[in-house]
Amino acid sequence: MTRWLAIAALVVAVAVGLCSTRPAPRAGIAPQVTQAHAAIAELTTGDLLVLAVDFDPASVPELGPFVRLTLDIALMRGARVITVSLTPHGAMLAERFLREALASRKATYGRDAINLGFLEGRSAAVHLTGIPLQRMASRDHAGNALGDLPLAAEVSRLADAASFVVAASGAPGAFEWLLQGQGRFARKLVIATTSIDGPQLAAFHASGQISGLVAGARDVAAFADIAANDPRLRGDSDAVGHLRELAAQMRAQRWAHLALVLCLVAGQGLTLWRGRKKGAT
Amino acid sequence: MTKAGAPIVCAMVAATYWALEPVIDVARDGWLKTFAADLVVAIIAVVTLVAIAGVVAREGGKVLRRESGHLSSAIVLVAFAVTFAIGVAQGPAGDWFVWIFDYVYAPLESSLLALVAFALVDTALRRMRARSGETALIIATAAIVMLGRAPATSAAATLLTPVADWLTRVPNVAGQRVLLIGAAIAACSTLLRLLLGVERDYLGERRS
Amino acid sequence: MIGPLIALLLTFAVLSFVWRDNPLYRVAEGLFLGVALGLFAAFEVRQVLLPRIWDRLAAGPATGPAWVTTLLVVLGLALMLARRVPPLAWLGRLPVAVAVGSLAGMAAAGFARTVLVPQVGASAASLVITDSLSHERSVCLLESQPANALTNIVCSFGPYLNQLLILFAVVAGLVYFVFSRRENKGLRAVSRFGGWIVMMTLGVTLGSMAMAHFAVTIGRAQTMMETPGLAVLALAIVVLTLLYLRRDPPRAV
Repeated sequence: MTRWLAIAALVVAVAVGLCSTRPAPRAGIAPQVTQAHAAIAELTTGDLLVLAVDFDPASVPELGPFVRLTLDIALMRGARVITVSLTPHGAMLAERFLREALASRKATYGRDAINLGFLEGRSAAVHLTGIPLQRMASRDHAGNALGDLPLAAEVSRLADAASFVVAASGAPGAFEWLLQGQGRFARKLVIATTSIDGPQLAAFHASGQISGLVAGARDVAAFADIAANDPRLRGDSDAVGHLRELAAQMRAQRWAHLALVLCLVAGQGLTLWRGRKKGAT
Repeated sequence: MTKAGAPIVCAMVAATYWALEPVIDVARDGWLKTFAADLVVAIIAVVTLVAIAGVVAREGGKVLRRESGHLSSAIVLVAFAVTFAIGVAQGPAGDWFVWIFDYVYAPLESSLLALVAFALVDTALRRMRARSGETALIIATAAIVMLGRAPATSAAATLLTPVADWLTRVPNVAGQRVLLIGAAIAACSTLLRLLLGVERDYLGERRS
Repeated sequence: MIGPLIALLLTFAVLSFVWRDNPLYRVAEGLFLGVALGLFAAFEVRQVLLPRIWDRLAAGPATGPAWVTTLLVVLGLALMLARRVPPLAWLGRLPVAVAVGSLAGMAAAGFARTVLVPQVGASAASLVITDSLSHERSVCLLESQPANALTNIVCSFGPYLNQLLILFAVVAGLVYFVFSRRENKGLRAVSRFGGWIVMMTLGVTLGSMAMAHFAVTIGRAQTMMETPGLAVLALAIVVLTLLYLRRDPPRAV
């Protein structure tokens, strides 16, 4: 019975959260999110952005809007983008996000952006970004020869990118890029991650090893908020649309958290009550 | 070099190269680095394929012996064969492969992880008990972080959000540093054991 | 239409586990395992082995060092496959030893460069006034407008106290893990404080983990709400199938 109560509490909380339209209480924007946005919005025409998409489909609700927005901002600023992934599912997601962004910005695949796809080898794959691109890979995700893609001829190696953005959840992911890449390759390393990896990465942000950190849906919503109000982006990015989608998610999150905390409190009360009942008998 | 000694020497050489790589590989685009990284990548790829073949063979065995649950094993085999054949024939950007990823793999993976949320609320109500000061501290911190990072009301945003942010920025950063320093010491000690030839588990040998 | 319906059917089949373990859930679980294995295997062949080995070998010796590298890699793979032949099995240990040694070397170098030096350094940085602390102070003052005497004090000393607290907490946390025998009273107090810090870290991680898993669940709910009609149809199919299977449960699944 108690099990069904807990499940019902979660289902009701999520449903109420998604159906409600009450605006969320205004929360402050963490400095690490502002820094992450600055590192991406500062890109100028011709700069190279390397975007590592290392999350699974389950993390798309949290990290999908961040990747879409990052690609949108980079292409809008005239930057060139190369996406890579340490996992096969990351490569599949990167392909989808990149094709969508290219279509909406009317940019050309091969000239403005390339999806290099899956890089096997975990930590070893991160090392490969330090060697010339032509030697690092011979084909892109779709199987096109790199020699046929103009952008591949212009880039000497990925490690020379102006900005390195990692969107990751779990392993292999942010930790591999940090451990093997940080301080050696990327001039600016921005990490976006799900809430679960946020606490660990906070230590790297506190030590100044990460230029920006976006952890979880709340930070992604803050990122979209900054992008929507950035005069450099001339209100041209799709930040407002993402913000609406994230606001619904955050409303459901609030209710779900409340349900979990209520379950925790009720559980403690239940133990006390059972203990007293046992003592009385 | 003996049959037993050769792998140990190989591991020592590889470990020494990669441990000193930031110092010795001055020319970053040197062929030595390409070779060393390529070798690791290719070995991991083959090890992954061998592991996958092992799982497929195990499921195949269950089907052949008609063990209980052999229908599930047959589903595993068919799903594997179809996905692998389409993936190899079309490549990862092929329409059918993308369809399988979008409409089969992605919803299944997301739903399996979504189950954890149900388990969490169930555990919170039935099993998570503050029996000691330490568990009470864990539960209270988790509750403050959850309520503070997604506050339900303006009052919660004013009261709990700064506390949740402080918990993440100060005690959490300190605790994570302790855990990271511990992991770093463990990684260095593993390297030392490999270099001294003490670590031999990877050879399938276990010391008494 | 077919794709989204199948996706929703699979979603409800997996979520039916909340009710209890059932054949529909096990079918979905088997399907996931098979598709995941197929996906990973196809990627290894098409994205790793084909371009890294076949393309380079096909290009011939004209590619220079890359061709030699590839030949050596092929030799390594042949050794790996030799594990299946008992007299040559010892040769198969060589590639595994290379991989283990390489990953151990990479991990140690990475941890030393990225964790040991910067993290210990950042903890000790509180002893000197750094730019980031001054920046934190000005941000705090900006956010606390209109400022009063109390906010001035909090913003002026807060960042420094936090840094000192982090430094002490790191030391205490290490004491908590390293010293198992705590006969000294002072050491015992420090260790207890370190224990609290570790517990608070676990609490932050637990809270964050719950948030991440709720986000996944909310994501699934949002997908259902995109096509409510299909979602209801899929739910009805799953419920009816479960009711049917309850009467006559198959043993083979």
